[in-house]
Amino acid sequence: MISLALDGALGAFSAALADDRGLLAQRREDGKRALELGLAAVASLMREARVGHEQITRIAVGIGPGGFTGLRIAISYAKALSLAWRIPLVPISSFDMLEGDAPSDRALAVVAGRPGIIYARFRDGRNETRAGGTTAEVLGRLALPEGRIPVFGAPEDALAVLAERGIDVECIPAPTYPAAVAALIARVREAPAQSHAIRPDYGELPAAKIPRLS
Amino acid sequence: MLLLGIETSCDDTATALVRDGRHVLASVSTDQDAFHAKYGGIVPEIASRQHVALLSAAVEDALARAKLALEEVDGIAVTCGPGLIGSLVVGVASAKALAFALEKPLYGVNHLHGHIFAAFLDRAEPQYPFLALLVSGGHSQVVRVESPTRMEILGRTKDDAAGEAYDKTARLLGLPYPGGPELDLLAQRGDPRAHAFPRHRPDRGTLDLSFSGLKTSVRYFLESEDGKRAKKEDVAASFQAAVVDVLIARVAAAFAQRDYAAVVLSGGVAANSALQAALREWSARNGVEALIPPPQYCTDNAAMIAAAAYYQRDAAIVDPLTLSADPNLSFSLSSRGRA
Repeated sequence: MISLALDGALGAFSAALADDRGLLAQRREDGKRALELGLAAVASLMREARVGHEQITRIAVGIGPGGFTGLRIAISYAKALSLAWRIPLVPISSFDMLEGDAPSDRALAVVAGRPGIIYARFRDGRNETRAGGTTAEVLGRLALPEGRIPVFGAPEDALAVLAERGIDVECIPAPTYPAAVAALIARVREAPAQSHAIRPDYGELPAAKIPRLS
Repeated sequence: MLLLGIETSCDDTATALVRDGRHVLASVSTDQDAFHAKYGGIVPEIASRQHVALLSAAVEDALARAKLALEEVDGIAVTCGPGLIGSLVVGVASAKALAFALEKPLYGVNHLHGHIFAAFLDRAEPQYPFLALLVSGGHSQVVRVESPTRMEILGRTKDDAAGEAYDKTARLLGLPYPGGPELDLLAQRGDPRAHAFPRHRPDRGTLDLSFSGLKTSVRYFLESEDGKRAKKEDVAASFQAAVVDVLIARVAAAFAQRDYAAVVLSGGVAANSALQAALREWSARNGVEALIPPPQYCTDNAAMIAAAAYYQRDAAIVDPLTLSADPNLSFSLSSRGRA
């Protein structure tokens, strides 16, 4: 089994290939140039790993939350590749990519959104709580327990609020190649029956501006 | 030559399969009016989200309707601008990935060129040169078309586009979104001579347009005592008569400057019944062929994008996989470094 993964939600655009034994190759491009350079990255990745599309058995894509534009570009690429090559598409949450392919029992994963906004997921065993909004609001809503908490992703403002509240944290930075994590996770995830049904997780409702008469 | 067209420049998620630039085998368009109606206009972020949700299914739907497989397509044509950036990137990213995966050529198409080539769909290619009157919610232009790759803007709006004026006036009249078609329907029951709204006159020697003053005039009228007593259908008909007069006057002025083989009406406002009637009447009176696409090709659609790519393919307009989206893409072909 070979999985190709793409992500554009976590800052940069990244792409990776993995097989049953582990990672085969990975690429990273400036998130602002995901539209121009993303496919070239995928092409060079496949060349480097000497993998043809007929060998790929699964495509994974980061579905957010995270940067809206990069997210849309990566999902558009992934849906089109899935359609053209007739390969199942597996959605992977940004929170899962932050936590890695071997997550611990308790984890707080934090994604930076637009300035001042974060999206967070707190997992404690089988219980899971998500929230999005300003850093203070989100960390207040999650009702974190006492004791040391591993914080994945960990934007600086989130760490500052956690420190203010006296919460003991262990910081694990976001992976340099989020798609590499997605490629590894995808090996053991089922794909939904319809790749069309895969939707981005924007983490918040759109900020709608009401058109005005001028 | 079979092209898959993709159009996501605004709020229509559209795909089409077109053979040899004219024969539409399938054309799918999923408008998002229901999502934008409560805001009274298009919300770019919502439009972009809907494109991500709908586009791949729209490609598959077009293939199913045409009873074709993706591998049978000879190339991918996509709108790369102008338009809403959040919407354009979804279409461009999807088209590039399809071209890469299928190892087929990618054709980036100017949305405005697409509207002009809508007149070629399901009919014979018109003679050159022809005059195109391109009127939509975002654009109002008078264009001389010498060949598929040689076009010149003779006049353009200095402020609001014709469709924009329609939508804003429709809101003043309390009509639901999208207001243009609603205003057209209302106007059909009114008297176009009931109120004398102003007609913009261009500077000498230009074919430029302006609709902002007209819209403001309607607004002031509706706020006046006379306006409060006026019948809405008469206001709509009088407003529409002013728009149509201005547009037909520009066509007449263009033909006075030089001869054309035909006049093409395109863009969303081309579906307007009064404008179509006026252009047909003017054309018949002047012995000019008027080409007006059927309603489904007046509004944004992907068949016109595939048609434009087909007719412009000889100018070596094949794009690399680094093709980007340009929300302000110039009408000029050379604006993107092309021949």
